[in-house]
Amino acid sequence: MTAPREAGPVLSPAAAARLSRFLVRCHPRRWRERYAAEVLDVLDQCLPTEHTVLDLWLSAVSAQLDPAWRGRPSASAVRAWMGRPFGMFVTISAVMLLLVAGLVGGAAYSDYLGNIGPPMPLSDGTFGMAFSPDGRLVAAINPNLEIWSVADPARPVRLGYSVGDLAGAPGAFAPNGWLLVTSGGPGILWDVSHPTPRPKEIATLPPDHAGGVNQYAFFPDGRILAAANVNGTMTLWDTADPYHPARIATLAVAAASGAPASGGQLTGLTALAVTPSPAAGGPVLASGDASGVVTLWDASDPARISRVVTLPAQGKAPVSALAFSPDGDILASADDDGTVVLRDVSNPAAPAMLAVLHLTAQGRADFNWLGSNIEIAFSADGRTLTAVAGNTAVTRWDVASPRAATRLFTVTGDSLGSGAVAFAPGGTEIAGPPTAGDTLALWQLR
Amino acid sequence: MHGKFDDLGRFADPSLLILTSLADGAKHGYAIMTDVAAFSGVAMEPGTLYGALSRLERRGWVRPLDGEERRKPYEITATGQEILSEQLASMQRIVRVGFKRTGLPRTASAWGS
Repeated sequence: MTAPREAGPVLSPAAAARLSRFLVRCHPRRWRERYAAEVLDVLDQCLPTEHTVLDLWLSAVSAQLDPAWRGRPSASAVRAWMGRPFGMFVTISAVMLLLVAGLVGGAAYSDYLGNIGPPMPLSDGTFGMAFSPDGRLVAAINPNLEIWSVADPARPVRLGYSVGDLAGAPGAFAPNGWLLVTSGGPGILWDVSHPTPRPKEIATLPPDHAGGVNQYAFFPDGRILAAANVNGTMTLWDTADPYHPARIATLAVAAASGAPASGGQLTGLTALAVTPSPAAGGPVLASGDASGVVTLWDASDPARISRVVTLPAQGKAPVSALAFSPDGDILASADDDGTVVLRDVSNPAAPAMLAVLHLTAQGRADFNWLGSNIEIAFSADGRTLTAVAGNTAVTRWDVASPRAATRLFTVTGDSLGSGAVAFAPGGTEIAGPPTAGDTLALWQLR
Repeated sequence: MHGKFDDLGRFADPSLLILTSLADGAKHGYAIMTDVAAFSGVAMEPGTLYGALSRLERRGWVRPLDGEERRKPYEITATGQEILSEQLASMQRIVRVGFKRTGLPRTASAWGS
Protein backbone atom coordinates (compact mmCIF):
# COMPACT_ATOMS: atom_id res chain seq x y z
CA MET A 1 0.00 0.00 0.00
CA THR A 2 2.91 2.33 0.63
CA ALA A 3 2.89 4.99 -2.01
CA PRO A 4 5.96 5.78 -4.07
CA ARG A 5 8.12 8.39 -2.38
CA GLU A 6 9.84 11.27 -4.05
CA ALA A 7 13.31 10.70 -2.64
CA GLY A 8 15.17 7.56 -3.55
CA PRO A 9 14.98 4.87 -0.87
CA VAL A 10 17.74 4.84 1.69
CA LEU A 11 17.20 1.14 2.23
CA SER A 12 16.52 -1.39 -0.44
CA PRO A 13 13.01 -2.90 -0.07
CA ALA A 14 14.54 -6.26 0.83
CA ALA A 15 16.72 -4.74 3.56
CA ALA A 16 13.80 -2.70 4.89
CA ALA A 17 11.63 -5.83 5.03
CA ARG A 18 14.33 -7.78 6.84
CA LEU A 19 14.95 -4.96 9.35
CA SER A 20 11.22 -4.53 9.93
CA ARG A 21 10.84 -8.23 10.73
CA PHE A 22 13.79 -8.04 13.07
CA LEU A 23 12.27 -5.01 14.84
CA VAL A 24 8.98 -6.85 15.37
CA ARG A 25 11.00 -9.43 17.29
CA CYS A 26 12.49 -6.59 19.38
CA HIS A 27 9.14 -5.87 21.00
CA PRO A 28 8.41 -7.28 24.47
CA ARG A 29 7.34 -10.89 24.55
CA ARG A 30 3.78 -10.20 25.66
CA TRP A 31 3.34 -7.64 22.89
CA ARG A 32 4.66 -10.16 20.37
CA GLU A 33 2.33 -12.90 21.57
CA ARG A 34 -0.57 -10.57 20.97
CA TYR A 35 0.38 -8.58 17.83
CA ALA A 36 3.45 -10.00 16.06
CA ALA A 37 1.50 -12.26 13.71
CA GLU A 38 -0.77 -9.41 12.63
CA VAL A 39 2.08 -6.95 12.10
CA LEU A 40 4.06 -9.52 10.11
CA ASP A 41 0.99 -10.07 7.97
CA VAL A 42 0.68 -6.33 7.33
CA LEU A 43 4.37 -6.17 6.50
CA ASP A 44 3.79 -8.93 3.95
CA GLN A 45 1.14 -6.85 2.26
CA CYS A 46 2.79 -3.44 2.22
CA LEU A 47 6.19 -2.50 0.89
CA PRO A 48 8.35 -1.59 3.90
CA THR A 49 10.62 1.45 3.57
CA GLU A 50 13.05 3.19 5.89
CA HIS A 51 10.02 5.01 7.33
CA THR A 52 8.52 1.66 8.28
CA VAL A 53 11.78 0.65 9.92
CA LEU A 54 12.06 3.88 11.92
CA ASP A 55 8.41 3.65 12.92
CA LEU A 56 8.78 0.06 14.14
CA TRP A 57 11.92 0.95 16.03
CA LEU A 58 10.03 3.73 17.85
CA SER A 59 7.19 1.31 18.48
CA ALA A 60 9.60 -1.25 19.95
CA VAL A 61 11.22 1.36 22.20
CA SER A 62 7.88 2.64 23.46
CA ALA A 63 6.55 -0.89 24.03
CA GLN A 64 9.71 -1.81 25.91
CA LEU A 65 9.26 1.24 28.12
CA ASP A 66 5.55 0.51 28.63
CA PRO A 67 5.04 -1.28 31.96
CA ALA A 68 1.97 -3.00 30.52
CA TRP A 69 4.08 -4.91 27.99
CA ARG A 70 7.23 -5.50 29.92
CA GLY A 71 6.89 -9.22 30.33
CA ARG A 72 8.01 -10.91 33.50
CA PRO A 73 10.47 -13.46 32.13
CA SER A 74 12.57 -11.57 29.60
CA ALA A 75 12.59 -8.09 31.08
CA SER A 76 12.84 -9.11 34.69
CA ALA A 77 16.61 -9.43 34.52
CA VAL A 78 16.92 -5.88 33.27
CA ARG A 79 14.43 -4.64 35.83
CA ALA A 80 16.25 -6.44 38.62
CA TRP A 81 19.51 -4.90 37.46
CA MET A 82 18.02 -1.41 37.23
CA GLY A 83 16.17 -1.95 40.50
CA ARG A 84 19.41 -2.31 42.40
CA PRO A 85 20.88 1.09 43.32
CA PHE A 86 24.29 -0.02 42.09
CA GLY A 87 22.91 -1.20 38.75
CA MET A 88 21.01 2.03 38.30
CA PHE A 89 24.15 3.99 39.17
CA VAL A 90 26.33 2.06 36.71
CA THR A 91 23.78 2.42 33.91
CA ILE A 92 23.31 6.16 34.44
CA SER A 93 27.08 6.65 34.73
CA ALA A 94 27.67 4.81 31.48
CA VAL A 95 25.09 6.97 29.70
CA MET A 96 26.60 10.15 31.15
CA LEU A 97 30.10 9.05 30.13
CA LEU A 98 28.92 8.41 26.58
CA LEU A 99 27.30 11.85 26.48
CA VAL A 100 30.45 13.58 27.74
CA ALA A 101 32.61 11.63 25.29
CA GLY A 102 30.29 12.69 22.49
CA LEU A 103 30.42 16.33 23.53
CA VAL A 104 34.20 16.37 23.86
CA GLY A 105 34.63 14.55 20.57
CA GLY A 106 32.21 16.92 18.85
CA ALA A 107 33.96 19.98 20.24
CA ALA A 108 37.36 18.68 19.19
CA TYR A 109 36.05 17.89 15.75
CA SER A 110 34.52 21.33 15.23
CA ASP A 111 37.74 22.87 16.52
CA TYR A 112 39.62 20.80 13.96
CA LEU A 113 37.19 21.81 11.21
CA GLY A 114 37.77 25.47 12.06
CA ASN A 115 41.46 25.13 11.40
CA ILE A 116 41.82 22.99 8.34
CA GLY A 117 41.74 25.83 5.85
CA PRO A 118 45.06 26.23 4.09
CA PRO A 119 47.21 29.14 5.18
CA MET A 120 46.83 32.19 2.98
CA PRO A 121 49.74 33.69 1.09
CA LEU A 122 51.11 36.52 3.19
CA SER A 123 51.27 38.86 0.26
CA ASP A 124 47.49 38.89 0.01
CA GLY A 125 46.53 41.63 2.37
CA THR A 126 48.75 41.29 5.37
CA PHE A 127 47.43 43.68 7.99
CA GLY A 128 49.94 43.24 10.70
CA MET A 129 53.37 41.96 11.62
CA ALA A 130 54.95 41.73 15.04
CA PHE A 131 58.32 40.48 16.24
CA SER A 132 58.70 38.72 19.56
CA PRO A 133 61.01 40.49 22.04
CA ASP A 134 63.78 37.96 21.42
CA GLY A 135 63.44 38.40 17.67
CA ARG A 136 62.85 34.69 17.06
CA LEU A 137 59.14 34.75 16.24
CA VAL A 138 57.07 36.80 13.86
CA ALA A 139 53.29 37.02 14.14
CA ALA A 140 51.62 37.79 10.82
CA ILE A 141 47.96 38.71 10.51
CA ASN A 142 46.41 38.18 7.12
CA PRO A 143 43.59 37.97 8.54
CA ASN A 144 44.50 34.58 10.01
CA LEU A 145 47.15 34.58 12.67
CA GLU A 146 50.36 32.92 11.52
CA ILE A 147 53.33 32.32 13.76
CA TRP A 148 56.70 32.13 12.00
CA SER A 149 60.04 31.12 13.38
CA VAL A 150 62.77 33.43 12.10
CA ALA A 151 65.49 31.97 14.30
CA ASP A 152 67.22 31.08 11.05
CA PRO A 153 66.60 34.25 9.03
CA ALA A 154 67.60 32.51 5.83
CA ARG A 155 64.78 30.04 6.19
CA PRO A 156 61.68 31.35 7.95
CA VAL A 157 59.36 28.51 8.96
CA ARG A 158 55.65 28.76 9.55
CA LEU A 159 55.10 27.04 12.89
CA GLY A 160 51.34 27.22 12.93
CA TYR A 161 48.34 29.33 12.25
CA SER A 162 44.85 29.94 13.47
CA VAL A 163 42.07 30.72 11.05
CA GLY A 164 40.41 33.95 12.08
CA ASP A 165 39.11 37.30 11.06
CA LEU A 166 41.75 39.49 12.59
CA ALA A 167 42.24 42.93 11.19
CA GLY A 168 43.39 46.37 12.16
CA ALA A 169 46.28 46.60 14.56
CA PRO A 170 49.57 44.85 13.83
CA GLY A 171 49.46 42.97 17.10
CA ALA A 172 52.04 43.16 19.87
CA PHE A 173 54.07 40.70 21.90
CA ALA A 174 54.31 41.03 25.66
CA PRO A 175 57.83 41.13 27.10
CA ASN A 176 57.46 37.52 28.25
CA GLY A 177 57.54 36.47 24.59
CA TRP A 178 54.57 34.10 24.67
CA LEU A 179 51.66 36.47 25.16
CA LEU A 180 50.46 38.14 21.98
CA VAL A 181 47.61 40.58 21.45
CA THR A 182 45.84 41.03 18.14
CA SER A 183 42.77 42.96 17.23
CA GLY A 184 39.85 41.45 15.42
CA GLY A 185 36.54 42.79 16.60
CA PRO A 186 37.52 42.71 20.24
CA GLY A 187 41.19 42.33 21.02
CA ILE A 188 42.33 38.75 21.43
CA LEU A 189 45.07 37.48 23.71
CA TRP A 190 47.04 34.47 22.45
CA ASP A 191 49.43 32.03 24.03
CA VAL A 192 52.02 31.37 21.33
CA SER A 193 54.39 29.31 23.45
CA HIS A 194 53.34 26.20 21.52
CA PRO A 195 52.22 27.57 18.16
CA THR A 196 52.20 24.21 16.34
CA PRO A 197 49.73 23.38 14.90
CA ARG A 198 48.02 26.52 16.07
CA PRO A 199 48.43 29.32 18.59
CA LYS A 200 46.03 29.15 21.50
CA GLU A 201 43.42 31.83 21.98
CA ILE A 202 43.18 32.46 25.72
CA ALA A 203 41.00 35.54 26.21
CA THR A 204 39.20 38.35 24.48
CA LEU A 205 39.42 41.95 25.61
CA PRO A 206 35.83 43.07 26.24
CA PRO A 207 35.12 45.80 23.68
CA ASP A 208 34.63 49.23 25.19
CA HIS A 209 33.96 51.12 21.98
CA ALA A 210 32.86 50.60 18.45
CA GLY A 211 35.61 50.51 15.89
CA GLY A 212 39.04 49.04 15.84
CA VAL A 213 42.47 49.52 17.29
CA ASN A 214 45.37 51.19 15.50
CA GLN A 215 48.14 49.99 17.75
CA TYR A 216 48.78 47.97 20.88
CA ALA A 217 51.75 48.43 23.20
CA PHE A 218 52.72 46.45 26.30
CA PHE A 219 54.40 48.21 29.20
CA PRO A 220 57.89 46.90 30.03
CA ASP A 221 56.51 45.20 33.14
CA GLY A 222 54.35 43.05 30.88
CA ARG A 223 51.29 43.73 33.01
CA ILE A 224 49.75 46.73 31.35
CA LEU A 225 48.56 46.75 27.77
CA ALA A 226 47.69 50.03 26.06
CA ALA A 227 45.50 50.30 22.97
CA ALA A 228 45.33 53.28 20.61
CA ASN A 229 41.79 53.22 19.32
CA VAL A 230 40.36 54.31 16.00
CA ASN A 231 37.76 56.39 17.84
CA GLY A 232 40.48 58.53 19.40
CA THR A 233 40.47 56.98 22.84
CA MET A 234 43.17 55.08 24.64
CA THR A 235 42.38 51.97 26.69
CA LEU A 236 44.58 50.44 29.36
CA TRP A 237 44.24 46.78 30.31
CA ASP A 238 45.65 44.81 33.18
CA THR A 239 46.92 41.52 31.73
CA ALA A 240 48.71 40.26 34.84
CA ASP A 241 46.35 37.30 34.52
CA PRO A 242 46.16 36.99 30.73
CA TYR A 243 43.21 34.62 31.01
CA HIS A 244 41.17 37.33 32.72
CA PRO A 245 42.22 40.72 31.36
CA ALA A 246 40.64 43.67 33.14
CA ARG A 247 40.09 47.16 31.79
CA ILE A 248 41.79 49.75 33.96
CA ALA A 249 41.01 52.99 32.19
CA THR A 250 39.69 54.54 29.01
CA LEU A 251 40.80 58.04 28.13
CA ALA A 252 39.51 60.38 25.47
CA VAL A 253 42.67 61.63 23.80
CA ALA A 254 42.06 62.69 20.24
CA ALA A 255 38.93 63.81 18.49
CA ALA A 256 37.33 60.92 16.69
CA SER A 257 37.44 61.52 13.00
CA GLY A 258 34.01 61.78 11.47
CA ALA A 259 35.04 60.18 8.25
CA PRO A 260 35.70 56.46 8.29
CA ALA A 261 39.20 55.30 7.57
CA SER A 262 39.69 55.00 3.85
CA GLY A 263 42.60 54.23 1.60
CA GLY A 264 44.75 53.28 4.54
CA GLN A 265 44.41 56.73 6.09
CA LEU A 266 44.73 56.59 9.85
CA THR A 267 42.06 58.04 12.12
CA GLY A 268 41.72 58.59 15.83
CA LEU A 269 44.66 57.69 18.02
CA THR A 270 47.21 56.32 15.60
CA ALA A 271 50.41 55.41 17.42
CA LEU A 272 51.71 54.41 20.85
CA ALA A 273 55.07 53.88 22.48
CA VAL A 274 56.17 53.18 26.04
CA THR A 275 59.62 53.93 27.44
CA PRO A 276 61.54 50.65 27.17
CA SER A 277 63.04 50.56 30.66
CA PRO A 278 61.17 51.94 33.63
CA ALA A 279 62.88 55.27 34.15
CA ALA A 280 62.94 57.01 37.49
CA GLY A 281 59.38 58.05 38.17
CA GLY A 282 57.77 55.31 36.13
CA PRO A 283 57.14 54.65 32.48
CA VAL A 284 56.26 57.40 30.06
CA LEU A 285 53.69 56.71 27.41
CA ALA A 286 53.65 58.56 24.11
CA SER A 287 50.60 58.70 21.90
CA GLY A 288 50.11 60.21 18.49
CA ASP A 289 46.88 61.06 16.73
CA ALA A 290 45.54 61.52 13.23
CA SER A 291 46.15 65.28 13.29
CA GLY A 292 49.85 64.81 14.03
CA VAL A 293 49.70 65.77 17.71
CA VAL A 294 51.94 63.79 20.08
CA THR A 295 51.05 63.57 23.77
CA LEU A 296 53.27 62.39 26.62
CA TRP A 297 51.67 60.65 29.58
CA ASP A 298 52.87 59.86 33.06
CA ALA A 299 51.99 56.18 33.36
CA SER A 300 53.58 55.43 36.71
CA ASP A 301 50.08 54.66 37.98
CA PRO A 302 48.24 53.14 35.02
CA ALA A 303 44.89 53.54 36.74
CA ARG A 304 45.48 57.28 37.04
CA ILE A 305 47.43 58.03 33.91
CA SER A 306 47.93 61.76 33.50
CA ARG A 307 48.78 64.02 30.59
CA VAL A 308 52.23 65.56 30.94
CA VAL A 309 52.56 67.59 27.78
CA THR A 310 51.01 67.94 24.36
CA LEU A 311 53.39 68.51 21.48
CA PRO A 312 52.05 70.47 18.53
CA ALA A 313 51.80 68.80 15.16
CA GLN A 314 54.69 69.31 12.72
CA GLY A 315 52.46 69.10 9.70
CA LYS A 316 48.99 67.92 8.95
CA ALA A 317 49.73 64.22 8.57
CA PRO A 318 48.79 61.56 11.12
CA VAL A 319 51.48 60.18 13.38
CA SER A 320 52.39 56.85 11.84
CA ALA A 321 54.88 55.52 14.36
CA LEU A 322 56.51 56.39 17.68
CA ALA A 323 59.70 54.99 19.20
CA PHE A 324 61.66 55.68 22.35
CA SER A 325 65.42 55.30 22.38
CA PRO A 326 66.59 52.41 24.61
CA ASP A 327 67.45 54.81 27.44
CA GLY A 328 64.08 56.49 27.07
CA ASP A 329 65.61 59.94 26.58
CA ILE A 330 64.74 60.41 22.90
CA LEU A 331 61.34 60.10 21.32
CA ALA A 332 61.20 59.66 17.56
CA SER A 333 57.90 60.25 15.83
CA ALA A 334 57.24 59.54 12.18
CA ASP A 335 54.41 61.29 10.40
CA ASP A 336 52.61 59.85 7.44
CA ASP A 337 54.08 62.57 5.19
CA GLY A 338 57.60 61.19 5.67
CA THR A 339 58.76 63.59 8.41
CA VAL A 340 60.64 62.08 11.36
CA VAL A 341 61.03 64.27 14.44
CA LEU A 342 63.51 63.62 17.26
CA ARG A 343 62.78 65.13 20.67
CA ASP A 344 64.66 65.07 23.94
CA VAL A 345 62.14 63.80 26.47
CA SER A 346 64.56 63.13 29.35
CA ASN A 347 62.40 65.64 31.18
CA PRO A 348 58.96 64.75 29.84
CA ALA A 349 57.47 67.96 31.16
CA ALA A 350 59.77 70.03 28.97
CA PRO A 351 60.61 68.21 25.75
CA ALA A 352 63.19 69.79 23.47
CA MET A 353 63.25 69.54 19.71
CA LEU A 354 66.41 67.81 18.51
CA ALA A 355 66.05 67.29 14.77
CA VAL A 356 63.58 67.03 11.92
CA LEU A 357 64.50 64.35 9.40
CA HIS A 358 62.93 63.55 6.07
CA LEU A 359 62.47 60.25 4.38
CA THR A 360 63.58 60.15 0.79
CA ALA A 361 62.91 57.66 -1.89
CA GLN A 362 65.76 57.54 -4.35
CA GLY A 363 64.67 58.92 -7.67
CA ARG A 364 61.20 59.48 -6.37
CA ALA A 365 61.27 63.04 -5.05
CA ASP A 366 57.55 63.41 -5.50
CA PHE A 367 56.78 60.22 -3.64
CA ASN A 368 53.54 60.54 -1.73
CA TRP A 369 54.14 58.97 1.65
CA LEU A 370 50.58 59.46 2.83
CA GLY A 371 49.18 56.27 4.23
CA SER A 372 52.33 54.46 3.30
CA ASN A 373 52.84 52.69 6.58
CA ILE A 374 56.02 54.06 8.11
CA GLU A 375 57.70 52.13 10.91
CA ILE A 376 60.70 53.27 12.93
CA ALA A 377 63.10 51.57 15.35
CA PHE A 378 66.16 52.54 17.37
CA SER A 379 69.15 50.23 17.40
CA ALA A 380 69.87 48.43 20.67
CA ASP A 381 72.69 50.84 21.43
CA GLY A 382 70.55 53.82 20.58
CA ARG A 383 73.08 55.17 18.10
CA THR A 384 71.04 54.67 14.92
CA LEU A 385 67.42 55.07 13.92
CA THR A 386 65.96 53.10 11.04
CA ALA A 387 62.73 53.77 9.17
CA VAL A 388 60.96 51.66 6.61
CA ALA A 389 58.41 53.43 4.49
CA GLY A 390 56.03 52.36 1.83
CA ASN A 391 57.53 48.88 2.02
CA THR A 392 60.07 50.13 -0.49
CA ALA A 393 62.61 52.41 1.16
CA VAL A 394 64.69 51.76 4.24
CA THR A 395 66.54 54.76 5.67
CA ARG A 396 69.02 54.72 8.53
CA TRP A 397 70.30 57.75 10.40
CA ASP A 398 73.20 58.12 12.78
CA VAL A 399 71.59 59.66 15.84
CA ALA A 400 74.50 59.31 18.26
CA SER A 401 74.49 63.11 18.31
CA PRO A 402 70.77 63.66 17.75
CA ARG A 403 71.05 67.39 17.05
CA ALA A 404 73.41 66.57 14.20
CA ALA A 405 71.65 63.43 12.96
CA THR A 406 72.95 62.32 9.56
CA ARG A 407 71.53 59.92 7.04
CA LEU A 408 73.70 56.83 6.68
CA PHE A 409 71.85 55.19 3.79
CA THR A 410 68.59 54.75 2.02
CA VAL A 411 68.02 51.50 0.22
CA THR A 412 65.06 50.72 -1.93
CA GLY A 413 63.95 47.30 -2.81
CA ASP A 414 60.98 45.59 -4.25
CA SER A 415 61.08 42.36 -2.32
CA LEU A 416 58.52 43.52 0.21
CA GLY A 417 54.93 43.21 -0.88
CA SER A 418 52.14 45.49 0.14
CA GLY A 419 51.01 45.26 3.73
CA ALA A 420 52.33 45.79 7.18
CA VAL A 421 55.97 45.44 8.14
CA ALA A 422 57.66 45.07 11.50
CA PHE A 423 61.10 45.72 12.90
CA ALA A 424 62.92 43.17 14.97
CA PRO A 425 63.94 44.62 18.33
CA GLY A 426 66.95 46.79 17.69
CA GLY A 427 65.93 47.38 14.11
CA THR A 428 68.26 44.71 12.72
CA GLU A 429 65.63 42.92 10.68
CA ILE A 430 62.44 43.83 8.90
CA ALA A 431 59.71 41.27 8.36
CA GLY A 432 57.00 41.79 5.82
CA PRO A 433 54.89 40.07 3.25
CA PRO A 434 56.76 39.10 0.10
CA THR A 435 55.87 40.45 -3.32
CA ALA A 436 55.19 36.91 -4.43
CA GLY A 437 55.00 33.48 -2.95
CA ASP A 438 53.69 31.96 0.21
CA THR A 439 56.42 32.83 2.65
CA LEU A 440 57.75 35.62 4.78
CA ALA A 441 60.11 38.29 3.47
CA LEU A 442 62.94 39.13 5.83
CA TRP A 443 65.42 41.91 5.39
CA GLN A 444 68.57 41.85 7.43
CA LEU A 445 70.13 45.23 8.03
CA ARG A 446 73.78 45.25 9.04
CA MET B 1 -2.00 12.07 -2.62
CA HIS B 2 1.14 11.87 -0.57
CA GLY B 3 3.76 14.51 -0.20
CA LYS B 4 1.38 17.34 0.35
CA PHE B 5 -0.80 15.30 2.67
CA ASP B 6 2.05 13.60 4.50
CA ASP B 7 2.45 16.76 6.55
CA LEU B 8 -1.16 16.42 7.69
CA GLY B 9 -0.16 13.25 9.49
CA ARG B 10 1.54 15.36 12.10
CA PHE B 11 -1.79 16.94 12.99
CA ALA B 12 -3.83 13.78 12.75
CA ASP B 13 -3.95 11.62 15.85
CA PRO B 14 -3.61 7.94 14.77
CA SER B 15 -6.27 6.94 17.33
CA LEU B 16 -8.79 9.30 15.80
CA LEU B 17 -8.02 8.03 12.31
CA ILE B 18 -8.43 4.41 13.41
CA LEU B 19 -11.70 5.08 15.24
CA THR B 20 -13.02 6.94 12.20
CA SER B 21 -11.99 4.07 9.96
CA LEU B 22 -13.73 1.52 12.17
CA ALA B 23 -16.89 3.64 12.46
CA ASP B 24 -18.43 2.07 9.36
CA GLY B 25 -17.51 -1.50 10.20
CA ALA B 26 -14.84 -3.87 11.49
CA LYS B 27 -11.53 -4.04 9.62
CA HIS B 28 -8.24 -5.84 10.04
CA GLY B 29 -4.89 -4.04 10.27
CA TYR B 30 -4.00 -3.73 6.63
CA ALA B 31 -7.56 -2.71 5.72
CA ILE B 32 -7.40 0.09 8.31
CA MET B 33 -4.16 1.36 6.77
CA THR B 34 -5.53 1.48 3.24
CA ASP B 35 -8.83 2.99 4.40
CA VAL B 36 -7.07 5.73 6.44
CA ALA B 37 -4.81 6.50 3.49
CA ALA B 38 -7.85 6.73 1.22
CA PHE B 39 -9.94 9.09 3.36
CA SER B 40 -7.21 11.19 5.00
CA GLY B 41 -4.12 10.82 2.85
CA VAL B 42 -2.12 9.80 5.93
CA ALA B 43 0.25 6.90 5.25
CA MET B 44 0.23 5.13 8.59
CA GLU B 45 3.11 2.76 9.23
CA PRO B 46 2.48 -0.62 10.91
CA GLY B 47 4.36 0.39 14.07
CA THR B 48 2.16 3.44 14.57
CA LEU B 49 -0.98 1.50 13.68
CA TYR B 50 -0.43 -1.30 16.17
CA GLY B 51 0.91 1.08 18.82
CA ALA B 52 -2.37 3.02 18.61
CA LEU B 53 -4.51 -0.15 18.28
CA SER B 54 -2.98 -1.61 21.45
CA ARG B 55 -3.70 1.61 23.38
CA LEU B 56 -7.28 1.74 22.05
CA GLU B 57 -7.81 -1.88 22.94
CA ARG B 58 -6.48 -1.37 26.45
CA ARG B 59 -8.88 1.55 26.96
CA GLY B 60 -11.72 -0.54 25.69
CA TRP B 61 -12.49 1.70 22.70
CA VAL B 62 -11.87 -1.06 20.14
CA ARG B 63 -12.15 -4.81 20.48
CA PRO B 64 -10.60 -7.62 18.40
CA LEU B 65 -13.10 -9.98 16.81
CA ASP B 66 -12.52 -13.67 16.34
CA GLY B 67 -10.81 -14.32 13.08
CA GLU B 68 -7.75 -16.04 11.78
CA GLU B 69 -4.78 -15.16 13.96
CA ARG B 70 -2.93 -13.24 11.25
CA ARG B 71 -5.88 -11.11 10.14
CA LYS B 72 -7.80 -10.24 13.25
CA PRO B 73 -10.61 -7.73 12.53
CA TYR B 74 -11.17 -4.93 15.01
CA GLU B 75 -14.46 -3.25 15.75
CA ILE B 76 -15.26 -0.03 17.54
CA THR B 77 -16.97 -0.43 20.95
CA ALA B 78 -19.85 1.64 22.30
CA THR B 79 -17.41 3.65 24.44
CA GLY B 80 -15.26 4.11 21.36
CA GLN B 81 -18.26 5.46 19.46
CA GLU B 82 -18.93 7.97 22.25
CA ILE B 83 -15.33 9.08 22.39
CA LEU B 84 -15.19 9.42 18.61
CA SER B 85 -18.32 11.61 18.43
CA GLU B 86 -17.02 13.77 21.30
CA GLN B 87 -13.71 14.15 19.49
CA LEU B 88 -15.36 14.95 16.19
CA ALA B 89 -17.66 17.53 17.81
CA SER B 90 -14.70 19.18 19.46
CA MET B 91 -12.81 19.18 16.16
CA GLN B 92 -15.82 20.66 14.44
CA ARG B 93 -15.73 23.58 16.87
CA ILE B 94 -12.04 24.04 16.10
CA VAL B 95 -12.75 23.87 12.37
CA ARG B 96 -15.52 26.45 12.66
CA VAL B 97 -13.35 28.88 14.63
CA GLY B 98 -10.45 28.22 12.32
CA PHE B 99 -12.42 29.09 9.24
CA LYS B 100 -13.85 32.16 10.90
CA ARG B 101 -10.51 33.49 12.06
CA THR B 102 -8.62 32.79 8.85
CA GLY B 103 -11.46 34.12 6.71
CA LEU B 104 -11.24 31.10 4.44
CA PRO B 105 -14.47 30.29 2.59
CA ARG B 106 -16.31 27.27 3.93
CA THR B 107 -16.75 25.76 0.53
CA ALA B 108 -17.34 22.17 -0.24
CA SER B 109 -13.87 21.82 -1.63
CA ALA B 110 -12.36 23.35 1.50
CA TRP B 111 -14.28 20.82 3.54
CA GLY B 112 -12.88 18.08 1.38
CA SER B 113 -16.19 16.32 0.90
